[in-house]
Amino acid sequence: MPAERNPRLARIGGALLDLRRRRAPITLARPGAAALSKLDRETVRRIARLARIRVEENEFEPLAGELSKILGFVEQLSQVDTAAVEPLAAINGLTLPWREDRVADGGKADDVLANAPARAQGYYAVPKVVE
Amino acid sequence: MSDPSAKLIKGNTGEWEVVIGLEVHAQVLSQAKLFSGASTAFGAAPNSQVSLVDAAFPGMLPVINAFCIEQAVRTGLGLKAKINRRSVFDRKNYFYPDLPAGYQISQYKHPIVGEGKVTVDLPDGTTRRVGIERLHLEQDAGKSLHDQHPKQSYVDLNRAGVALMEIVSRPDLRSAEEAAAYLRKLRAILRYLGTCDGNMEEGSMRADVNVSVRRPGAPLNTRCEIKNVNSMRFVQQAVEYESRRQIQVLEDGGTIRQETRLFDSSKGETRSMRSKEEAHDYRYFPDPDLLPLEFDQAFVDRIAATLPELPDEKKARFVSQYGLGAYEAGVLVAEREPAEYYESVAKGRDPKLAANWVSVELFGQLNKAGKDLAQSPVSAAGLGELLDLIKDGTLSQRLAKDVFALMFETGKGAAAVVAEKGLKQVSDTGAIEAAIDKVIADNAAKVAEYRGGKPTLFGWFMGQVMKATGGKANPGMVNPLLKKKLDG
Repeated sequence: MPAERNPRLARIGGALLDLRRRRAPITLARPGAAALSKLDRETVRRIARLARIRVEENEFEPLAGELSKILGFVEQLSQVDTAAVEPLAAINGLTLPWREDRVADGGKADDVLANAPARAQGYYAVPKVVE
Repeated sequence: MSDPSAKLIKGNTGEWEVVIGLEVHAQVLSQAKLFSGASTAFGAAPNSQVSLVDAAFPGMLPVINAFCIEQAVRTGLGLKAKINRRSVFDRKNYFYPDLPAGYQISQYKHPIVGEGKVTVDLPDGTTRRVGIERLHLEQDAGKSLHDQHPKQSYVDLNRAGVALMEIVSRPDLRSAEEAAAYLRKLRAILRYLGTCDGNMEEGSMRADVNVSVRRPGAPLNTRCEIKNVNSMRFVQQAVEYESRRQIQVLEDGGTIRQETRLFDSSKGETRSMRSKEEAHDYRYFPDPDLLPLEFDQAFVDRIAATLPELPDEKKARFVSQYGLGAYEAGVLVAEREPAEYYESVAKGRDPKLAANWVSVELFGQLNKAGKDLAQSPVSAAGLGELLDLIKDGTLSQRLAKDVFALMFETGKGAAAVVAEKGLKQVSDTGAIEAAIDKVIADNAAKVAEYRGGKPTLFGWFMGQVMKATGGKANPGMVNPLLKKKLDG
């Protein structure tokens, strides 16, 4: 995902750019903060279930290790002291575009349903959801 | 303020207090959806009002509808709430077939509207102030039909992406009646503002009701959330049932589990929705497709300048300008249309008389006929004409009621009904005197009794004269003439 589309990355990138512009020294806020976060199997199981991804029993342990490493890698960023930096949502002055309240779309049920595995009477047909 | 002790519920082991907060979903009155150009019209063929954004096709980007922003701000101003000139859209993640993206675009930490308040009018004439915690913009989901096929659910995405305002109250409500009254008032405000049509049958307004019970003065207890209650009456029933259920559980030594419950209107009870228990981790995060929503104070001021007079202000004005009682004024302003109807009847006429005719006669007939004001056979001008006939002496109050009933029945004007049915009040002295003479001649014994020292019989004579003239004699004229003849 490009940086300008992801506010979090953009914010971090923006903070770094801003620091460089001001020639401020980059200091380590929490020297010990880069310590690896450790995910346990149960957390991974829960994440997998929330994301509807099937993970086999023997995969949880290696997955927990890999995910922990990714988290640790990203957490290095928390060493940058951003206390004096305004949060930044976009680095190139973009603002949220607004649209007029006008009906200009729709009327394409066939397109919308084109990829549906099953349809009936104009509806998506899905395995029964029991309430 | 009403007396809180009157609201307590008696259990087997003492008294309990009910604590209620409401999350109301109000559909924004807009032509197009919150983030797409598809129509929001109700009742179209399935999936005919769906853009590829709503169906979450890959690569499609949401673009916000300016009017929906305006409507949210307008509602916030109507709720006397803080407007946040910077707010953020987040993704609320969960899986359900009618949520094609796997997330709902909503606002979590930074809503567009912050704290506000609503003054709720209770049936006993007292008021209660209910805090508003926040209002945020979010997308509606699609609609699932579970009863069309034995093994399949059908999904219609027409509603998916329609703009909703979620209005969250503080847990300030203390009874089922208060909860219903709050919802009624909120609906009235939204309808006055024109930001939501408040149509609960079509689902454009629905409430999630949070209920807990506690001993008076004790800290808050665990609550249960009753989802998607879609009428004032059901809100009241759901709270009544749920509070009694919780009291029973607690009095039997059990504990309340925080859970989502469903209100079954056919049985009038709530029951647990076990399927939703796991799904409560929504993993909110800022939507990378949308930058923060920002606008300046001038934008807010422009909207504020177009705000209509709201129910509370209108009520206060009706009391001061027309001299109406608070209760009567409250009845008249509960909806925008009756208030306007009243004002056009009252214009240039006796405002108290007009209020009485609108709130008693007109509302009474409408109620009896099961009609709303828009379907009233008697227009404001028509009722005004009738009041003019009372004022110029053509009709007595009593006759006017008969004329009104005929106007309501036939849709004809007041003067036409009077002419047709010969209901004109008799103000001819000769005719009235003749009637009085006859009553006196026919009732010699009563006359003697009256003259012998029983002045209370006067009323009886009045009644006889009115009866003899078919109710058409002008009572203002009968009174002095009768008195003169009886006493003379």
